[in-house]
Amino acid sequence: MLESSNAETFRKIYDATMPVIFKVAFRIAGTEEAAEDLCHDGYIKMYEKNMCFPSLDDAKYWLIRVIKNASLNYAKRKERERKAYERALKEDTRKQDSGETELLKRDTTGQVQRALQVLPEKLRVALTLAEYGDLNYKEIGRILGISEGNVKVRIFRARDQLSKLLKEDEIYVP
Amino acid sequence: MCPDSQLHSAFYDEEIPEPWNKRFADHVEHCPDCKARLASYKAISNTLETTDPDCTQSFLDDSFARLTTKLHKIPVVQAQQRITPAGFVPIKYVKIAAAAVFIAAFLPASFFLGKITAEHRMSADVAYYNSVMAHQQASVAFPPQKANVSITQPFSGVPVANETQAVPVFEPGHGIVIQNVEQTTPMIIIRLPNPDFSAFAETNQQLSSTGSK
Repeated sequence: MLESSNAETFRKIYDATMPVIFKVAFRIAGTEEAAEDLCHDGYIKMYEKNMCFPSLDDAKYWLIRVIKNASLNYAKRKERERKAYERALKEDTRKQDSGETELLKRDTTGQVQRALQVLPEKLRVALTLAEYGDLNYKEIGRILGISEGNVKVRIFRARDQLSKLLKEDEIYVP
Repeated sequence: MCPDSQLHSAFYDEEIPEPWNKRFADHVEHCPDCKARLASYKAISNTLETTDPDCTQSFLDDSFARLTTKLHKIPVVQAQQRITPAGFVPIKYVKIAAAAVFIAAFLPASFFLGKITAEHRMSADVAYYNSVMAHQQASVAFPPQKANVSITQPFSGVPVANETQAVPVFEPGHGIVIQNVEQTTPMIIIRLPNPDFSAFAETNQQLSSTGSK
């Protein structure tokens, strides 16, 4: 059993899972700073709850589930904040970007990230887990609480829509 | 005829079982449309990969250091009594002062009842505080003992130095003030369902002694 209260085990779980969950959190939350904080919160929760896992894979599934939910909540909160500011200022803040931000927006990373954000939440999360989680459909279904068939449909739709969005934006695709 | 479009995505993720996987692969080999669709999926993966955030070993090590710092800020607290919910007023308890209150109020009676023990003093204190605050349905939690709070370092369990916490404290003449108190400071907890601190006016003398430093 892997006990998260043991320092050595904790580090082992961290090393095995951080690269994956950080990318998942980044794709959902949108920024590296937020992604790192969300991941840290997940590990702290794991430590505080003194979680015991039969295997590293189980630890990974648990952490992905926790961080996926936290990231979605974070993204929703940020969106609510943005809308609130828009209402308060009675204008679309997105039109007030500085020149620097505009340059950043033209950056491929920003465009891909924005294209991902345009996808419906369910599709975005499924695709993110498929691309980064190193998980099969069965495992993704277990994390999301849906059937394998549903996972297959969501990933297909996500790829289809993302492909169209990236073509519209004329993003350089290597 | 091309397979259902959903299967392309599953094929790309290697989720189609044999023998269908091989048959699909054979079809793709000779179908430019299916090949193009799979190429677009590959392109998406490449784009996502090239736009990934840096996740180098040095980043992971630095991030772990930051995580460890956060973990050290979280005390492992095992408290028998939480002392800050609404309606509770903790008062610093000083044994000598409490003993003085006891002597002033109960020594004559107890003196004739026999030898004064620690239990006598505590029960006398409880009775005294309950009697002076009975009119506002206050009750005093006793015995006054150190809050069972231990703060240890993460993983090692090594105790760390006492830290202070801000708690509301009744100070005669000043009312309720916020004081920094060591987390292991002994406290008397007085439950006040409907806090009316003017009631303490009559007990200022006694509370003054218990509240003094």
